[in-house]
Amino acid sequence: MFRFVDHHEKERIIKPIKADKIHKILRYICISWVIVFGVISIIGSGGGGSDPQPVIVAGIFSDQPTDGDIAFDPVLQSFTITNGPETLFFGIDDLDPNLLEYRAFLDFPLDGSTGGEVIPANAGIVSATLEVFINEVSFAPIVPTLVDLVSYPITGLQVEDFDSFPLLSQSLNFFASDLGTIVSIDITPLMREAQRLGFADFQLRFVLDFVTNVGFVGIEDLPSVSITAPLLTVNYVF
Amino acid sequence: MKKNLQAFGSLINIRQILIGLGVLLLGTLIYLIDRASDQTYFIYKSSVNISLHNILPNFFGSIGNSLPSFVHVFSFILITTGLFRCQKRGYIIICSFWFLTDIIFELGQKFKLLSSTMVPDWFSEIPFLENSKNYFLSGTFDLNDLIAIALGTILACFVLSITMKRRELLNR
Repeated sequence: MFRFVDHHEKERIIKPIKADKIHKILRYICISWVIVFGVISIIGSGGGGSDPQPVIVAGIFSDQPTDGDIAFDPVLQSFTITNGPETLFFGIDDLDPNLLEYRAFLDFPLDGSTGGEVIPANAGIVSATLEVFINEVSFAPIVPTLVDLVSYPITGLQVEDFDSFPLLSQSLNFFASDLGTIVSIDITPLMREAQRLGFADFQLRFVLDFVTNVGFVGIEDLPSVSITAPLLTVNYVF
Repeated sequence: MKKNLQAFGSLINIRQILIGLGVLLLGTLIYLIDRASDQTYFIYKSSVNISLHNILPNFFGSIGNSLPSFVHVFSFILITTGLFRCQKRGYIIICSFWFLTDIIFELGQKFKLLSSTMVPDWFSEIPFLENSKNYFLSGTFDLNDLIAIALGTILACFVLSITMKRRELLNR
């Protein structure tokens, strides 16, 4: 049953096994690297395809009558909906004894229904930027904000829209120094999601971040002044 | 150590690896000479300007559009099989793997939205992988690329059959 193996014989048996194993491991490491490099080289080089497609830039102003804000009165438990105001507010109004909480809504038609540019339904979004003119920053030097991708009826805001579940969110800060300036916000993930869902309108909700209860911001949205109107700029390929 | 390296060398097919690397180098030249530096991630991310575009004349012409697809599948099949040194069945698996990989990436450029949404967001923080979304969104699907991938695979199979036969002859 048992066979005694002397030291030299043991070395002869073990060494080839060890070397074989090392070679195998080396080979698999090399092959793994080749596969990783092969895939990365496709991504990094563009895959050897034809020339890249030209990126089309589209600028779309918000649909002012469909924009709006909703104020919630926590004392009276009531909502006040304003469609198409000249300033859209979000945050908590500390001047109001009831500490009204505002949420602002912006609507950008993607189908050209308001005469703006069209984003084709199967366009690939390269990037998207939102520009808003800030005409009020109050009660806090920094206002943490959530920008939610939402869907609300273009016929007008409803009470449910105040708290509707966001389809996607991103956070950003507004600063006191933003007052009187145009703030540019990269909203590419939100735009990509809206495009993926096939929305005819790209709709956003501005909410004071839940990490704070101080801060009040106003976004200018005058009916016939394009220079300060909320502007969505989309770079896409088609 | 030297013996180990020699033994390792006998386990790989150097001829196949060298052919694969040579053709891959040719493919690299297309990007360096014929394509503008802002079109290729590897070039515009490079800290040194390695682009020869506008320095050397356009060398590959219109064939340079689809040649990289051919080169990629061909060279990576040969490099991988060279490292594996396997039998016919292994060659078929490797050829199929690279053929399908290249085809899937090319088709990803046709179905831009679907493919770009499949790229995880955390890729954007990793060098090289950060370009994945752009690859699908900015790249162009081209039927010629698919043909080039198919031709590259067929030619790679042909080269494998020759290099395999030679090895068999040497082994006799």
